[in-house]
Amino acid sequence: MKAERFFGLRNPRIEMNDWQGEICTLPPPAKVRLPLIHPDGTELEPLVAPGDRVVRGQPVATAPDHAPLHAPIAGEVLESGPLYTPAGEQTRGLELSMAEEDLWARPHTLAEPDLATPDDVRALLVELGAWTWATPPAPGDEAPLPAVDAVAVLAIDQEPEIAVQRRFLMELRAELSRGLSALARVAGNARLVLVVPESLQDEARGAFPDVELFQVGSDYLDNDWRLALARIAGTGNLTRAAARQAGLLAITAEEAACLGLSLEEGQPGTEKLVTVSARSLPQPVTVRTRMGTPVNHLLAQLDIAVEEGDRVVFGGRLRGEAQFDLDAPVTRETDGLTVIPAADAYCPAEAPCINCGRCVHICPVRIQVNLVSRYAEFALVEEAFQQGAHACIECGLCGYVCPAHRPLLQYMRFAVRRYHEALAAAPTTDEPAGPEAPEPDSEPAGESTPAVTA
Amino acid sequence: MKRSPLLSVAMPPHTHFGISVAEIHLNQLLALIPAAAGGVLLWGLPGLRTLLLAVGTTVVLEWLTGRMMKRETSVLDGSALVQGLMLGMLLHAAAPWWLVLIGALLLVVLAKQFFGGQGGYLLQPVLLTYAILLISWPGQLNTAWRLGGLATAAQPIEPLLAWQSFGPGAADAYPLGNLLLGLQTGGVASGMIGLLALGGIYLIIRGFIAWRIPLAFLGMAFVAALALHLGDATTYAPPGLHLFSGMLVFAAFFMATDFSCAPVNPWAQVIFGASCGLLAILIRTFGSYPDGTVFAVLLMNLVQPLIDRVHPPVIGVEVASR
Ligand code: SF4
Ligand code: SF4
Repeated sequence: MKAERFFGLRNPRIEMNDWQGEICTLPPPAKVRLPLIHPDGTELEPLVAPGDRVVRGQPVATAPDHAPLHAPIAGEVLESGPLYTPAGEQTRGLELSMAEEDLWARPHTLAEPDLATPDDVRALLVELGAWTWATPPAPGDEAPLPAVDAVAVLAIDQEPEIAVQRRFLMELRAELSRGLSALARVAGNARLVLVVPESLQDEARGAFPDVELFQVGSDYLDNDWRLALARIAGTGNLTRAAARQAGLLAITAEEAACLGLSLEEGQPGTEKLVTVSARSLPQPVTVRTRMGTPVNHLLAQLDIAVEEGDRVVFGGRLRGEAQFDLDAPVTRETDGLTVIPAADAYCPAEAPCINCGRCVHICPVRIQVNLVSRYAEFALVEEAFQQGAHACIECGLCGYVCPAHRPLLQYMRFAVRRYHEALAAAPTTDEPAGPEAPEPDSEPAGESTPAVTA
Repeated sequence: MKRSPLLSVAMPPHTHFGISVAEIHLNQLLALIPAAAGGVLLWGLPGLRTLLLAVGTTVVLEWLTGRMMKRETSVLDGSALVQGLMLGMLLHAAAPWWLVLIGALLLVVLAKQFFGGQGGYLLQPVLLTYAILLISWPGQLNTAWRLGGLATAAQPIEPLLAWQSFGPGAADAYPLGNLLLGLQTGGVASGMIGLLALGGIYLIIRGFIAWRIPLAFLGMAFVAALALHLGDATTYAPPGLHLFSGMLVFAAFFMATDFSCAPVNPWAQVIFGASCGLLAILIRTFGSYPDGTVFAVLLMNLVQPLIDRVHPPVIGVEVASR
């Protein structure tokens, strides 16, 4: 990660790194663990019980309107205690132990859909496992959805050190290509937009001449999914609900590739690409591993030693989540694994804001972070919302520049979360005094959001 | 089985740009040192004595109050060092020791800790202290009277006071070049216009202060003084004299930019700076204090939270505008 500062005259710029290097496939772990929760917060119901034998690709848990979870390995279902989401929330889990033979389930057949209504596209994407932005509306979100106008395929990464989605424009082009043609078939009249970084635009244009490209720059913020989608939608509005209202669906390049595999071969996605960075590696490496792989296994395979006091992060340095347990499993959202030596692990402090304004200047959505963070600090949740705290895209830059080392991202999240809790507790018939009701799902994935009827 | 290592966890981001509050204050100190040195050159040992007394007592008091409140000491963030030095630079070389001591006490206890310490105060502590001293002991702070005994190259009376007392002819005794070099009566180093501006520009280039505030401050002061002067050249001092005398430049670069009591949004900074400049000239011209800069900035400090509401809307959500 490179951050430059031209004297003090402009904000630090964080450039995305262009890591190359072979993608190696790791041998499957002896055990996988699957948190039974969808990234949108919906709990999944297990379809198997301890002692059952499963084969790779077999659905093992599901929830209505959501993609089922598939067994990433063939083996036996074990008793499992609770697991934790990457953000540290407790959830039910499934644990599978590897069988001698990694048998695939019989290819499942998907009926070639009859795309009469736009909802079918959505439903299909959901069934195929697209989870990020295609999720169905929250209950109570009654506004009728417009026709799907565009499906955005995000071949951009969320952190400077992570190179997962971009790999699908490089060596994994064939997989993405299969995914794109599958998508084109099912997307009906919707446009297909491939979001690519500038540096890979030639490769993208050469490989996918028929697909509409949308280029983003090399800056960290250019590559933010929400910001990129807002620019495609032309709404300037960033919440997930708003993107849906603009008729925009989005899936990552990796999901698109999964979808291709699923449609062409009848094999659901059971693998995940993860960029691992650690001091002992000369540069971050991207590996392919099974979903549910414990961190331990990844580290052992790559010969990375973790010492007392080191920090192990799912994701990257700017917005990743620190893990407390080396058994924590790789999930569908885990694009990166970063091991930070104890000496480099930055710890924010509970310090007063000196009002220097750096956070305000760097915030891409122009939140008055100095004010909002102080509101959050003293639990003045309504005030935080009058300042638009719920527009936060959680880029982490405010915390990155704060000279007082305040945990700013944490304050922002806290404010958003408390507000949703307050809304959920209040009777829905009453208009909450003061702030506008926020978009029901404008908050981070990982928590179910209350429905708000205004 | 080997116990797995205990991991450290914290909220993201897990990396930091590397800047700290102490670094900002150290750079402010660095930017003040040339002017302080210039003041010592001009006023000799009495000047040095005032500076050291102010810095020493402020730092010790900051440490003591921290001890008394059983808080982690805030001395290490460097703010007391900077503010003590600024107080010393504002006071004149012949200031009695008890005045400096009272100043330091007011600065640390009243102006800073009562408001919650660094980051909590609404009024720039050094200016607030100076204003209280100025109102309480006007005679002691009267430089023309107190500094008469010290031999220096500076004229024995402040330029603006001279203009007000003796009319336009008095300005001839104060060539702008001399004023720029700091050859004027006043605080130990508050009149070191050139060196202070140099320090201020250093801070701007390093990004430690917001450039809009001093620029708007000085620009507006110049325009206001020029307008008055063009209206009636015999009653109103020329803009050059205004800009290069008293603590206008000191306040513009070092006090109006104090983060805790200055706005952070670009246009709010311009409004804030310009209002400070306008008020300073108005108070100087029509008020009873020859140098009203201190009151101008303090007044604007009070309305800063309102000014800071001038900012572009948040992108992405509708917020009920109030
Ligand atoms: S994390 Fe901070 S800088 Fe980023 S959008 Fe949220 S408030 Fe703004
Ligand atoms: S960067 Fe930190 S100290 Fe500066 S205004 Fe923001 S929260 Fe306050």
